[in-house]
Amino acid sequence: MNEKIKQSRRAFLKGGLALSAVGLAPAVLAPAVQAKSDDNSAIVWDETFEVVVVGSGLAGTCAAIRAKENGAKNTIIIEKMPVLGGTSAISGLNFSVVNSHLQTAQGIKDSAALFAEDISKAGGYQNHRDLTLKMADTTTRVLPWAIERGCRFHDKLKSLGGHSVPRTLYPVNGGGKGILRPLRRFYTQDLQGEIRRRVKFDKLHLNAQGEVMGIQVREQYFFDPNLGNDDRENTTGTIKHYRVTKGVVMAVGGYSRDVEFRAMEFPNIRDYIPTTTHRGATAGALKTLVAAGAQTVHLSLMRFAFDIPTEDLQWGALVDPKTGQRFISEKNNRQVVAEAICNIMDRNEGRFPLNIYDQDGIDNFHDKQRLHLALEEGMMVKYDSIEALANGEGIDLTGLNATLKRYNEDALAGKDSQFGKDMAALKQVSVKRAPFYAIKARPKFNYTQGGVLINENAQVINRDTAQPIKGLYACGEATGGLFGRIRLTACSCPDAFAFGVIAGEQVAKA
Amino acid sequence: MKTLILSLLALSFVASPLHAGELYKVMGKREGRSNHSFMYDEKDCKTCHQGSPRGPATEAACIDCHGSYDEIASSTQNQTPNPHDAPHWGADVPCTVCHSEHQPAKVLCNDCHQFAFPNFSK
Repeated sequence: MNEKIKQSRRAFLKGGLALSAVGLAPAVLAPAVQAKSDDNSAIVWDETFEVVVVGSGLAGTCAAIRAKENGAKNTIIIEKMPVLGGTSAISGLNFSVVNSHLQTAQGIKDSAALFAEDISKAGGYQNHRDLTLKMADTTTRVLPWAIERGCRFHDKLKSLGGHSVPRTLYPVNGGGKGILRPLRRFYTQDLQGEIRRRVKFDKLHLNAQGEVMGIQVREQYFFDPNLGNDDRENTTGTIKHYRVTKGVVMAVGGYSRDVEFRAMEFPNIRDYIPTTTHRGATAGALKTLVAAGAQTVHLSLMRFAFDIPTEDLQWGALVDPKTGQRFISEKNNRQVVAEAICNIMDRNEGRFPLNIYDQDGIDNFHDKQRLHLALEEGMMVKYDSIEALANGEGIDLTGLNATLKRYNEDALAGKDSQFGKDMAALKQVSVKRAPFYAIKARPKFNYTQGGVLINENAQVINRDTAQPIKGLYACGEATGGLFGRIRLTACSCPDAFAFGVIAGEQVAKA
Repeated sequence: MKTLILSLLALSFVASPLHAGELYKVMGKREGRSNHSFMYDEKDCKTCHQGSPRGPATEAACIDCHGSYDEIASSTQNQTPNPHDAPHWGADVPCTVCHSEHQPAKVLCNDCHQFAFPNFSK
């Protein structure tokens, strides 16, 4: 830096205007020219790797570690985003495990078959049960493996809805800090593994036999969350061709942020329905796999999450703000409740329904951690009276009063006269003892069960030959078929762990 | 230089009611941040755009003046939550993910959370 600038900057800073903002923007870039050549003999390879892992979330990180541990020397993770970890970094990463040390200590009898059956039952038996069983079985060996590499879990098991036995561990300080950051530290420091961010996977290079030869990427890619379709419209970056000798592991996540793709697969889920996944969860990589001949499965299946656990919806009344009326039993499963909400919102100008509780309802919440988070962040608001609540939340008061009168009578009688909710099981909890609480029932697009089909070795299946595509592996949310119609809670983390580890082991052997 | 900025920065949270960093017109239609006015005064683009002026600014340029990610994280450690040390990523989020020089900026945290960051320059 030249002396003049230094001085002027210092003088400026002495003026007391220095502020925390480090304001810099990716500027407008000259459009890159897309490589059109599909003739592999013409490709000039910029670099050669044994293994390329696409995506730096939990599945990709596990795959890269395991590949290196099994002898793959030249292994790299590429990530299109400027931050690492994808959705895994912002997930709670509840880890359901069969025969963990905690289950053993507590004398809990569990098995891979039982875990797979719980998942299959939740998913309406529409899942590929061989894959589900493989995942369940693999969790047993992955847990100690993860702990040895720095992952930290609480010494308690969560007992979650749909699981026959308590089997769910949860990381200390959330998934990013408790699981992903230690694994990444292990990969980059202990194993000297390389990660490149802002590198976008564009497409696979296949040879005449349909085998993976390498990939086309763009380096210095600046993802733009403001574009309608980043995969198509973003022209930043410099095209490079990486030759791959063992294989490519596609750990590219789901597509729940891809509003355009979503609208094609789920026409009744409109753009005002929010998403819990990371900014970059688009369908671009999935489309390139389809173009390479991959078989897809379950692309029209998705999962919702609410700001509070679905199990805790039942302790209050769910009402449409426009009418103040209930429209469904709050005790239904997440999918049924979420679909009913999407329907109601089509009729009330896109306003979220509200869950209304009294103090007794709140006291019965099973997940106090998430309850307190909702209160602290102002998602759930406390009111002294129903009038104040209706006023504050913009709910029709006459309708709400009529709804609650009937709801409270039903609660006393133990029978929901409108929608058949089992109120006897709710210990006469009503909505009448102040203070009252309101929270928007936001069904957030949380996970896409669909993706490419793999076999038990995490190899991607070709739709024409029904055989594995040589050199192509996938794991984590990018794959489909493990779960079926509804994905049981706390099961994406075991999927990412198990098939991430399997993909890494298999690609190293290739 | 870094130490100076960091100490001034710490001071500004307590002492300064001024909200610098607002967008203003700097060259034609181009907007920039008022805390970087001294660079615009000198038509100095290269301090941030170390490659091509049409290409993206490098985070190394931010770090040159404002300090490393760890230094920035410790300068805001008394804030709850600390925007520069999120449990998800630690002090490992490139500056330009949240901060934006020539256009409105948006905090990454608030993709999911609803945190108030009163000192943040939108």
